[in-house]
Amino acid sequence: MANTYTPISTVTVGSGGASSIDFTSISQSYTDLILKISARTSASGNVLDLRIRVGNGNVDTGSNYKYLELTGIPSASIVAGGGGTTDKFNTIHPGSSVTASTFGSVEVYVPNYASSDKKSMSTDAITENNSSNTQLRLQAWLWDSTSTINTISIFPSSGTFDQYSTATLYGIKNS
Amino acid sequence: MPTTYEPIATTTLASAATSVTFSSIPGTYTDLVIVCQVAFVTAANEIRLRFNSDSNTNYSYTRFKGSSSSASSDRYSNENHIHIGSPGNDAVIGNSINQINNYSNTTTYKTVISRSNFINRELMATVGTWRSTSAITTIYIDNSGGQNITAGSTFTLYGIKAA
Repeated sequence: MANTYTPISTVTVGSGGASSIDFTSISQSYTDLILKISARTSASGNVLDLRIRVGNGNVDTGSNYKYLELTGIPSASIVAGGGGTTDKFNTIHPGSSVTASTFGSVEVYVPNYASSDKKSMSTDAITENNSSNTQLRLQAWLWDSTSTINTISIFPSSGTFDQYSTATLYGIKNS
Repeated sequence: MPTTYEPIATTTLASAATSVTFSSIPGTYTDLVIVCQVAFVTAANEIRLRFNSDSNTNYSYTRFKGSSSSASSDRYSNENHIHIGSPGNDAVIGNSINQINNYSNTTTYKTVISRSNFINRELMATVGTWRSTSAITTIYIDNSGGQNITAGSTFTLYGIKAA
């Protein structure tokens, strides 16, 4: 029986940093995609936006993204958000103000990415650094398009990805 | 490399149905993952899990969930199911991804970790327990209102193997 949790591509940022991590020409032969990200940005701050766009051919920069989220913040209640539309999807990763060598982790699950349905996805993200400047964020999001996904771009809201930031895209097959 | 994440079965509804069953699940894996992509035909509802035809009150679950404006958490004891998501009846098919760890052992109760994402209703994280030491051989997915699940909804069962 086939092994279906297949690594498609891994990108690791080199010493010069990188403004984005891009996956293009993604094979349409899987059922679902899983994207695992370990990242940190050069911009000042503790918890900063990590942005994601998807598309077919080119990434979609239109206001075609919608999301719901639950954010856990130390010493605060869980905060709900989202509901509107935006031109990108925002999750989180740490900035340069947190302890050195601390990277955030994000997992994105993209079911049925090659279908003609609108794309409903999920993201779990954490920035943990042994201080109160941390967050846990669970998100549901939608790319409001019936196009298949063959391009994914990840980029920080400001600054560049630090060296050793890495992202791996996996393919899941249901047969 | 050993195969560790194997598709066991997929059901794609050719026509609307109220439930989906995976039966005769082999006990040869370590964990199970169920990926559900679901919408309802006429009204929003809850999808839920049961195991081995047990519809008695042997289930409990704790969840937290959020809409665009509110977050909440709650728990339910002595239920006859585990709630794993709240699909709507809109044009968006959302998803519920569920992990069932150590499903085939005959010593411990079984646990479920669930994440569901229904953008026009709510997202939810749930942990559930089935108070049975029986190995899970059947998984039954239905909904609390007996409503029809939309044609095209898909349910895939994967097996995860430890080394």
